[in-house]
Amino acid sequence: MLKIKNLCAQFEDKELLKGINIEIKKGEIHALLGPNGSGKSTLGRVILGDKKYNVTKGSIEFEKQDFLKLDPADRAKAGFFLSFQSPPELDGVNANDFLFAAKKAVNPEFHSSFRFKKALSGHFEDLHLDEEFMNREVNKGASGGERRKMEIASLLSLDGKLAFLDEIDSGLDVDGTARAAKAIQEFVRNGDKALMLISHTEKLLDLVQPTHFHILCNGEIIQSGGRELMEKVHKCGFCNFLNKKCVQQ
Amino acid sequence: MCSAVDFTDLTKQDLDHSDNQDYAKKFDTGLSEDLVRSISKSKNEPSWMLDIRLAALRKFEELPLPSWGPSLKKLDFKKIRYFAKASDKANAKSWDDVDPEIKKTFDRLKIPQAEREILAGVGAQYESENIYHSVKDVWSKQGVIFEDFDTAVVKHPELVKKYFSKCVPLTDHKFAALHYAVTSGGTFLYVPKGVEITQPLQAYFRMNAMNQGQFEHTLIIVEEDAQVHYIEGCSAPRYGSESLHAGCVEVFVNEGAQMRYSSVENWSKDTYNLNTKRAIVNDNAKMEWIGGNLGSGVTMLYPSSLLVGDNARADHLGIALANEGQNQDVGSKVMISGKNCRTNIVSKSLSKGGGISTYRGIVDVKKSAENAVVHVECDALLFDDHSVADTIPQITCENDTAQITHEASAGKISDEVLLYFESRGIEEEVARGMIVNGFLNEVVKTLPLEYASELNRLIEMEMENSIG
Repeated sequence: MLKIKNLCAQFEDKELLKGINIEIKKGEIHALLGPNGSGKSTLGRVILGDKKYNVTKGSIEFEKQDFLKLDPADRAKAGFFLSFQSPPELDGVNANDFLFAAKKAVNPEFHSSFRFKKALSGHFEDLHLDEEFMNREVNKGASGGERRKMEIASLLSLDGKLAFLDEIDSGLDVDGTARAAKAIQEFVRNGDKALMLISHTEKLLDLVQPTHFHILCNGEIIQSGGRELMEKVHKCGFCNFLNKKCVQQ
Repeated sequence: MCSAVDFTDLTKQDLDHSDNQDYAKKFDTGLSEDLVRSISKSKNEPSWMLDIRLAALRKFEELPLPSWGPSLKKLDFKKIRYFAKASDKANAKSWDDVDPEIKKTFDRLKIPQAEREILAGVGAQYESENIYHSVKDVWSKQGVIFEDFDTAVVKHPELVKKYFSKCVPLTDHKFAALHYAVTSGGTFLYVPKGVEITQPLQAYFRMNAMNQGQFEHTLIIVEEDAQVHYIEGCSAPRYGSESLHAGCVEVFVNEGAQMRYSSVENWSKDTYNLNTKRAIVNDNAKMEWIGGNLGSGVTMLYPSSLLVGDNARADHLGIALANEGQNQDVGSKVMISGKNCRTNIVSKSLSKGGGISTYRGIVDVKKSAENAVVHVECDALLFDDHSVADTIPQITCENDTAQITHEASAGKISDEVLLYFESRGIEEEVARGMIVNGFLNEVVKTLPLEYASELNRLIEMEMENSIG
């Protein structure tokens, strides 16, 4: 589904991604681990096509399309969904109108505002997000947890192919995290979708059970593997792990 | 949809289309006492009206151009045609009697259709004269007078004389003086005591010929406990040579009455729109000014409310859009002398392509104005770095019991917000449109649905190709 080869990207003059290689196939759940500032969020932004970053080398192929040639909106239409770590407030634009416009953009055959509203209100209910948020300005005055829930509701509503979820569990309480995990599992249940998760907490990763793990450090993926990688990191911390002081007992 | 009138498919061609203008050659450009006398004579006006015109002409010659605001240097008074008549058929009561060429223009603007479906009455002015004026029987039977202003001067001279120029004096400023000297056409609306007109009335003002001037006078009297919503629409084609609109609106809202005045002024970019609008609001009465200013090259327009009665209220909601080469200098003036009065002023401006928009407002709370509540909110949205938004609010208060709040914001649409829309599949141009609609919604939603859609469509047309 997604093939990233030797991806290098800069912000201003600083090189933030230094030759990333990742391949994600249908049905896979990947987790991206790494210390703060290692480039995890940057990777999501570069896949989306944030013009702040300048791709200097490498390629991103999504569903056989050359992503680097597409605008962000076209990447979203192709099925790539990025949740924002700090989703902005949209003055004067209510959630229902915003998400309905988005739904029609990614799925031009979709017209029924009634069906849309019904589905959206179902997602809100599953996430325990008050229905009044549908008529409120997007993210306006919302707490961190409420914003995360909006991101997940957006993901479910737009029903993309690959979701890159950037710290989707931060600001969520224990129950909120469990509901988020359930919603995310629901999203990948049929095996025709894929996920990339960034998370600093064990809870979400325990619940969602990623199939692949990557450790990103200073703009490079220094190790990829299975669940054992996460266990090592959680036991020793990134510092020791990176200094190879982490010895499995 | 239950209403069939839909203004949203109006195109730039519909608005910019110019008709044949051969008739204009019969009328000279430039201003003179002879011209003023001949306008008065052609309308069979009473002598008091001519006296006002001549006094106004002298005042116009005396008064200087405003020393503030946008430059008016390019406006050449000698080049303007102050009076022109496109057809001898004035004031038809049926569209079938309107000159076919002119009727086509109004058909294009969908005025007759709107009249049938959603309005209580329509006036249509083309250049200097009304070509059509009609109010539905149900209202005229209740004593509502809705006439072309020139007709009203002749048919209801006492009523007109009692109110004419009593709200906006001819000495007010240079363009008010000019207006009174050459005024022609416009609307006279009288709503008797207790009559609540449930559908809006509309007047549409159209300029067609190059270098034309339009100076219509709108005089509205809403008697005790009466209610009315009046909608004004304006447009003109573009020639690349200056035209001038210096209309004047006087509104008298008497005890307990409610008046809503909505206007969408969409003159062409050649137009200097130097319009004067003012209301006198009495005890327990309410005045609402709702305005969309787009189009014209230079606008100087500051609808005013004089809250002279106790418990009087004025709401001013305005939108201004300044695109390339446009200078929108707009705002609100509210003077409060009655007790327990309230005013709420909301101004929203959009600037793009180097356009300049300025909010220039005055709130003046007099010593006698006990317990006044004043709220002023000015928000500006900039589309790029070379556009300009200014806010020049002036608030004076002579009474300590007043509660006054003022909020102002100015900003650009952030890249992060645009990226957020795009990350959900919404293209940048659509995103900007949604943001603009959201920004303006507080004002637009006060218009009837059909006009709100029309205004949104006009703004959309200005927003096209806004990615830069």
